[in-house]
Amino acid sequence: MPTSDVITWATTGVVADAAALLSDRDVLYSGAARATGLDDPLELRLAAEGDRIPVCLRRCALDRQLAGAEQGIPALRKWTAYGSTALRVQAAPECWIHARDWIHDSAGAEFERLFVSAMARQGIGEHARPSQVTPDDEIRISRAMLLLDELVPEIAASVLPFVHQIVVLDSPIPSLYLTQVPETVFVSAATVHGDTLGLADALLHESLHEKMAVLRLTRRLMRPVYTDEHSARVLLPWSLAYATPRWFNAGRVICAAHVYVHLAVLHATALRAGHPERTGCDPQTVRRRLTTAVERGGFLLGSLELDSVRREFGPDGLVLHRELTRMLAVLRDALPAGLVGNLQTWQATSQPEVHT
Amino acid sequence: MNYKLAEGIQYRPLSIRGRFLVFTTTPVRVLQIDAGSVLLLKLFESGLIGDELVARYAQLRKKDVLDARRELAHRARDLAGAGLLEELPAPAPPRALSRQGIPVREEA
Repeated sequence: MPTSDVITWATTGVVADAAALLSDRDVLYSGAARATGLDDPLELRLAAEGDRIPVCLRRCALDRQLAGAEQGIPALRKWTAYGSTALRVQAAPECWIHARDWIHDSAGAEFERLFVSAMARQGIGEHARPSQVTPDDEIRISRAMLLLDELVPEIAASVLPFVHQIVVLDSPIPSLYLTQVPETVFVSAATVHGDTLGLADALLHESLHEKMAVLRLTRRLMRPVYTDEHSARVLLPWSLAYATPRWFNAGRVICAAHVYVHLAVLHATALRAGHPERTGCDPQTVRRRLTTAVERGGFLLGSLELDSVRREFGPDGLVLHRELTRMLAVLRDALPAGLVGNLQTWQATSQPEVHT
Repeated sequence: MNYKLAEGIQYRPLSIRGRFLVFTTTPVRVLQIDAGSVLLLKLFESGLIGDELVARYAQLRKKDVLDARRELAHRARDLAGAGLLEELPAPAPPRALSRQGIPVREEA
C-alpha cells in the first residue's frame, strides 16, 4: 500500500496531475492580469527563486479583483519576501516550504491584521494567533515532511508543491487553511509538538485543500451556476454529537472526501510500515486514524451519489468522484479483515438546493 | 447570430486538450469554454455574420450547414448567457415605401 493504481489515480489525469494544474493556474492568472491590468505573477517566476511568496501575493491581488471587489477586506496584502528558514521537501526538490516567523518580521503586523480579520469573519479569530517558530519546530516539521516522503512519496510530490509556507499557530485548532491566505498551511503548536505522523497528517490534509483550490479554479468541478450558498447540503453524521451538527455543501463534501481518501492512504501505509520510532505513535493510534479516514471518506463519497448532490457537479467533479471512489475501494480491499469488519457506515441525509 | 462580442475577449489554452480559459475586461470575468466556442468567438471577431459565419463554421468543423446552424444557435445562446456575447436588438423590418420612394405614413 499504496498500490500502483492508487498512485496513478492520485497523481495523474485531469483532476490530479500537479504539473498540469500548476501550469493551468499560471495560465489563468496571466490572463486575469492582462484583463485587469494588474501585474502578472509569472513575471516574478525567475526572480523569486527559492521563495514563491511575492508570486503568491500577486495571485492574491488577482483573486480579490476577480472576486469583484473588496467585499469588506481592508486592503491588499502588501507584505513582501522576508527572511525565513526554508525546508527542502525531498519529495519535490523544486519546492521549498518556509516555516514563517510572523511575529518577528516587519511584515508581521500587516499580515496578522489580515489573518485575524479573515479568522474573525469565520468566528474563530480569537482562537488563533501566529506563534514564534523555534528551531525545534523546524526540526519537527522537517521530520514530518521526510515521513511523508518515505510513506507516500508520489502523493507528497503531487500535493506539497501547492504550498509555500507553514505558519505555526497558538491555537486549539489542530490545523487549518484559509482561502484568503492561499498556498499557506497553518498548524497549531500542539500539533507540531505531537507525534510526527499526526503532524504529517495535518500538513498533507491542509495541502490537499490547497490543491483542491487550484482544481476549483482550473477545472469544471461544479456545474456552471453552482454556488456554495445555494448548494444541496449533506449532514455529517459524526457531527451529531457536536453542539451544532454540521451540514456541508456539495463543494465542501468533495473537498473533504479528497482529503480523507488521501489520509486513508497515508495511514494504511503507516500501519503496514510500522516504525513507531519514526511515526512517533503506536499502531492503535494509526489504526484509529485510518478507521476515521476510511469511514468518513466512504460516507462522503457515498453521499455524493445522492441525486440532489450529484447534480451540483460538473464533468471534472464527476471524474474526481470516480477516481476517489476507486482509490478507496482498492484501499479497503487491502485493509486487515478485522479492521474492515468493524468499520462504521452511515446513511447519507441531504437537504436539497437552497433557494433564497 | 445577432450578437456582438463582449469587451476585451482573450483566450488561453488549458493543459486539457480542447479547453480554454476566456477572459473579458468589462466586467472582468474568467470562464472555461471548449474549442468550438472559441472558434465561434473568433469568427465573430473576424467580422463574419449571418449565413457567411454559419458556412465558415460548418466548413471548419466539417459539419453540414443545417447541423452547424443548430449548434451555433445553441452555443451563441450559452455564450450570451455567460456574458461573452451581447445580443443585439433585432433589426427593424424594412419600412414600406411609396412608388416614389417616400416612406408610407404608418397608422397609429
